Amino acid sequence: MIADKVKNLIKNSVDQFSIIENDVDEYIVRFYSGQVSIAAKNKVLYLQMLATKGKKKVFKVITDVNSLENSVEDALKILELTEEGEVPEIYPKASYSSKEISDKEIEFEEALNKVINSIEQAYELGIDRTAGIAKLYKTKFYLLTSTGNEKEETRTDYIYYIRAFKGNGSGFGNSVSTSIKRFDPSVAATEAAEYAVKSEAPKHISEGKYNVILSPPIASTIFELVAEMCSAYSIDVGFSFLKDKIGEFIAPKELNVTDYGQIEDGVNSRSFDDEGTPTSTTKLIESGRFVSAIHNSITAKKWGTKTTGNAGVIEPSPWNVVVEGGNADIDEMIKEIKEGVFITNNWYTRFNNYRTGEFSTIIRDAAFYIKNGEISHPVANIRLSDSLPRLLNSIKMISQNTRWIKWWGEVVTPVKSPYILVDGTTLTVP
Amino acid sequence: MIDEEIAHFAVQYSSKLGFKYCEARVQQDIYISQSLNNGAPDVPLKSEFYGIGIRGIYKGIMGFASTNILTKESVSKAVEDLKRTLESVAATRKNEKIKMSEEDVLTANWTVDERTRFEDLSLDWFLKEAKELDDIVKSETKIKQRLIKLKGSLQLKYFVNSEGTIVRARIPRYLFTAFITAYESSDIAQRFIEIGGSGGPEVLDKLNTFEKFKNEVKTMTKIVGKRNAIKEGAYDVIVGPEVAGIMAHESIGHPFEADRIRGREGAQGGESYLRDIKSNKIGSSETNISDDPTIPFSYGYFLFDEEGVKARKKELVKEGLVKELLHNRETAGELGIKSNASARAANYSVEPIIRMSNTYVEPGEWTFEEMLKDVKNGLFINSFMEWNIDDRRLNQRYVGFEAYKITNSEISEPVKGVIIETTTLNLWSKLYARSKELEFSAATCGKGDPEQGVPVWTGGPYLLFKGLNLKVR
Repeated sequence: MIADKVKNLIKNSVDQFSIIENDVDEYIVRFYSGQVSIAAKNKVLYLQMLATKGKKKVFKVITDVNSLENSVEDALKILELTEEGEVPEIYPKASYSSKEISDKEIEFEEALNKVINSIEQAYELGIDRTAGIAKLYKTKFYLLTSTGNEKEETRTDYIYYIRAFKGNGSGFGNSVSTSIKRFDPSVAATEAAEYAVKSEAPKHISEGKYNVILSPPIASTIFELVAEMCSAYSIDVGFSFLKDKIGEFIAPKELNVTDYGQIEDGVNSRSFDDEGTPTSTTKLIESGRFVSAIHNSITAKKWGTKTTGNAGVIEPSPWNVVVEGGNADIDEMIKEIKEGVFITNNWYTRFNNYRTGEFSTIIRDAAFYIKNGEISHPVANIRLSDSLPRLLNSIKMISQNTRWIKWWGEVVTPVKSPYILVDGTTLTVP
Repeated sequence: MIDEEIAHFAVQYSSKLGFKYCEARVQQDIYISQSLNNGAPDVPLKSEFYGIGIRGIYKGIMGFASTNILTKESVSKAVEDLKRTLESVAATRKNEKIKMSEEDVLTANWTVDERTRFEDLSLDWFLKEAKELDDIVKSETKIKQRLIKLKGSLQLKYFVNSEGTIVRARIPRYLFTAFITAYESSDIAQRFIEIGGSGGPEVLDKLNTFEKFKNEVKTMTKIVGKRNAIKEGAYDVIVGPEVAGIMAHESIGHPFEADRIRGREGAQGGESYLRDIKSNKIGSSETNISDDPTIPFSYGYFLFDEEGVKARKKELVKEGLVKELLHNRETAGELGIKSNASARAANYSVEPIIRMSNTYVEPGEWTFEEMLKDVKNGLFINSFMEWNIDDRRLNQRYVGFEAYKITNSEISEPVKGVIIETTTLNLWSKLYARSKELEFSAATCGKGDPEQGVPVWTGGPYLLFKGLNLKVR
């Protein structure tokens, strides 16, 4: 293992270190209009090295594995030049337990067949065209720390998303899994195609306040943002509306949001963080109350608390976010709305102000106008403009069904989310 | 030192295994960054990405492989694995034939001038500069939260393809970013600032980084707590170069990428209104928008693209009409034209795709004072925070950060949360005048999956729009 070589190169020059070796095999199949636009096979072996000496610290990513001596020497030079300050604490001797959530190997042929069949299924439903991607990863992690920790683990991740287009409508589907057994492009493609067909001829609606049902893809955007804003670093530098809100109600009592270091189908699972701390399960919102920020050792020290195992050497980040399902089913939620909109997906979320939580996001793919408890017609060309504190406080119903979401650009940290009914959000039209 | 020999080996071995077209790019990207959170230095980061990306056509399918183990054994395995992957894919799909455009076979070396070489700069320089920039803001009592970051990078590339083209490149870049939050009574103001370019560290002086940041801080402390809402409705609006730049980038640059028009990005960044509109008229005759990677010191600078094609300026919209799209060799080949060198790759491990470089509204003949005189009563929006646009690039929003009323042809009180929310064709149809200035902002443009952030400039002059509908947050 190259991590062992680096350990031998630095162990006598630093006080603390955490070295993580990542050995990644990646398969990618991208497609559009029924064609495969590119297929890729990538292999990368790289190291993340965190080292401290006295009150100095450095973090280095090394891919030039053929000249490890030079890379380590360079890191040690940087370490000498840095200013003294708070240093991360590498976790003491620990026992890590890797959950059995992954396959041993990537099943490429099987995954490819599932993907190709899914595209064909989408076309069978009468759509005009598709575009999408499947990304399959096998990652071998190897941790070594100055505190004597040593841990090897292997994960497989399967991520697929598809858009189907029909007329002026489109639909989105997403399948995310840590095992080929539960990787299901077929369900995702069918949903995308059905939404595309149903939204083929959208109408315009007027700007105003609406009660909306947010499907898992857009609800995941919201909860990913909330989880990121639970990072103590985000709160300290101004990227969060949660400053001074620990212990306060920020949502109705039905809302529970938890970060899992490892969980079945959470495609960002690991048993240790970048400081060698065992990852854990951290309740962020419990019965509507913001109960915990997420920490690495530096933010924990600053806040007078313990790390939650979410390092990030600079910024602690959530691993896999799970929003607990509620009691409602989708039909009940639709029946509840006199006038509103059912939203299936979104894209391009940007903040006017992170401290106040004011943001807007483009409604993308199928959306449907609801009148007197029934879906009436598809709508297009709208934007949701709101603030996170108002939106969270206006959640009225939470579905029983939850689903994992992770896709390009919008939901980067995996989120398992239900459908949510939100009162009185603003939808704008240009 | 870049391993050039392994690139030639990769191309030869791919050709031997039956790849019809192939190219190899050995690329090293080194990043150093130092951030200060509320004045305290974060862990300094240094990242080195060094490896080879190999792209080729096999059985009619484009394939890509990468590895950071630069031995013949490892590269051979990468090509063999890719071939096997493409055989599996070919067994399931019948693809249309890919035709790459015919381009000159050339050998080129290009670099960016640096007074101080990236390799000669140590971390203490980053720390010292970051602290000096932090000094500008730390004594401002209204600014209570701040994140200051200084990042430098060096990109070394060696490109070779099966046609015999060879390109060597060396590009150092520097980027300053700041995120600051000011409080006054019940008002909280937040602002992102990004200043960056290509060159040695002296490029930050050339770009007046310290002066610009001082002005931003001064503006923020001046307007926070004093911003009022306006009445919604139609106004004559002057926007600053930063707003002009984001408008050009989002509503013209992206939809002019030919791969989006074909639908290749349909599941990610989306498609383009150019698939649907019947006329090639985008806006008023004042609408002149270009993309030019050859601007010296620019953040999106390059002289040859990642397919070995010589870069040049592209006039995307001329006098309101569509003039040229952004192409790589694949989209140009399909149309039987030449590529205009728009293929870029963020690092060795990703395929080159069609990208912007420095996208901007061309300057005009007016002065800012003449614009104010013409407006009499209206709005001046100099910068923005929130923005977004739909995936066909029609429905867009820009929310003003530094914005003022214009009263009797003079800039008067600051306003809060003013929104330009309109469609591309409506926006550019209302463009009435352009000033003589041309200023740029640095940005990192995202596209593709795997996500590729590439450095760009966005810019323009002051623009005067007549009768633009404004909303309020």
